[in-house]
Amino acid sequence: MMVFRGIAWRLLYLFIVLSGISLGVFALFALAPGDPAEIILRERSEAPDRDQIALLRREMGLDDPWVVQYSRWMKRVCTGQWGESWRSGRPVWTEIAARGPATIELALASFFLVVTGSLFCGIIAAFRQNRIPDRLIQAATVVASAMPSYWLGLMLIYFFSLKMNLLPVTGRGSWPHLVLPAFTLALSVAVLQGRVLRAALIQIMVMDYIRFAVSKGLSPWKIFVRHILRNALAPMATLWGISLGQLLGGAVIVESIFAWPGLGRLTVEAVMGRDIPLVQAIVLLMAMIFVTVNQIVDGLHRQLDPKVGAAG
Amino acid sequence: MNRKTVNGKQRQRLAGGILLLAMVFAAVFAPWLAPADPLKPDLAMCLAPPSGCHLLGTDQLGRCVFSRVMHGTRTSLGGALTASLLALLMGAGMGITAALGPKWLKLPVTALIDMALALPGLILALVIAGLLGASMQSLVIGLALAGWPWWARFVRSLTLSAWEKEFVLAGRVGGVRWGRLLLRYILPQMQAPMLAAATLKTGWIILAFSGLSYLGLGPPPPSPEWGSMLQEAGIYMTRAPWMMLAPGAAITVAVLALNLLGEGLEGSGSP
Repeated sequence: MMVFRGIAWRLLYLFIVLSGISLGVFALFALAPGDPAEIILRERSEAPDRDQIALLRREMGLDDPWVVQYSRWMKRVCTGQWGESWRSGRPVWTEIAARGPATIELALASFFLVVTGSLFCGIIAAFRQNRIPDRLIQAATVVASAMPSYWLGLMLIYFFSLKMNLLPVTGRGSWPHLVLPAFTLALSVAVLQGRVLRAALIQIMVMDYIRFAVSKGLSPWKIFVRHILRNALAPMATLWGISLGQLLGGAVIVESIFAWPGLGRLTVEAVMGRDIPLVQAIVLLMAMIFVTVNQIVDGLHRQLDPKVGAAG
Repeated sequence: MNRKTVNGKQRQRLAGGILLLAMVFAAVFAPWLAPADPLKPDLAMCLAPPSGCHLLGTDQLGRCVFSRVMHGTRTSLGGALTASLLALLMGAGMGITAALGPKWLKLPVTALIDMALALPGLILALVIAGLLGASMQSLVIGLALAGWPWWARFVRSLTLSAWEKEFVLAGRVGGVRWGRLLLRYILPQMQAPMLAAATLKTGWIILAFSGLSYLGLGPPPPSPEWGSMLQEAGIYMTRAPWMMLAPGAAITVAVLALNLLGEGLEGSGSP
């Protein structure tokens, strides 16, 4: 019984949070300076006169009180009509769907680099603890986590594309296009997670059951794979999962450096071009994905960890 | 914690502190220390490579890159510190309210925090600062509004765990007034973890500040800012690759200093 009350309460709370977010997203209209009707007309033709603006304002219902406007907007959002982009005139869903694949492609490529990179750094650092490889990786971690991606990206373009002519400069297409943006996006995440893995491995290596496995005469490889790595991977899986979410949502700057035609760049273009419906759609979509994922992770955590308990 | 890591923490604190002090020094005394005017164009010296006259070369308008990076400390570091402080103050207020405030206020404040946490911080800052229009103020406002929810959650949990401590309970039972309880009993306990978190968070805000400025959302062109300098350097990369060295290094050193300091401070204040 408690469980169901907990779930009902969580759903109600989720509803409150989401409607609050929708109110905030709706308020973006007010944040942008300038008359929406005028912006649209300017995009369509040259110089709109006052009558045209007034007509379009009435058509769009911009003269109504904001509560009326909000409920009308909300009704359309709930039925899936998220409006048209002011700049292109196409539905925002078309715009988003056109850019989604590029972002997913980049996120998956850098996720692969994050996993392999953190495994590589973490394992080497743990097994060469306080010796030269470990020290080198530590130093690299300190620098890489302080380095802005937009600097790293520019330097990579300079050396690998301009000087050595190995990789394409910007844009999307064949797989060499993916290398530099994916690496730029992955580096700081990979080294930081490598450090977490190092700590986890070192903690496990001194446990009694490892000493027991050694004295039992198991081969070092078997001990490493079956007893050490396997136990260290459980917490890492959570970290990797979180980072996949971040990679999907947070490539705004890297996509801009490499002119990668993904959602991050679309967000920047929409914000810079004051394309409010598009901005609203992106923000709303991201918020919905984030809130839902958080609830799922939270729920799983509650299921797996009896200490947390089911009631909210 | 063994002795070695304690010494390591001290070293980290020292290194971070010295680097940070040097940067603050450069920011305060930039007008006297910088060898040239960061804003004055010199069209005879466009894109000149590093030389004795211009240590780090010149940019597309012949301005001294070294002087611009030095003056940039004021805009970039100053802007990021302001945003960080605003985020901390807003977040702390909200967090304490969500933990200890009157019952009718707790739920709306908690819901507001969760709403703000439902978006990646950088996107929130991008949208707010971008729609307000590119300027120093809107970038600071955007980053402060993107940063406070994290602080609110952090301070809320710190407050709640401080509230549960026995001597606070003793104070509550003993009839200590609410304001005194907060100032003398609870806040002192939160000082150390908040200081460590503030340094680490400021590092993130510097990266975000210059990053958004790289995208064109920062203070408009003539003013020197590390992120926008990098954006310009990207355009002239083939002809003047030296332009991108100094601003990027400056950001890295600033964030590095704050990271070292923050990690050194972490866990050091509690006995």
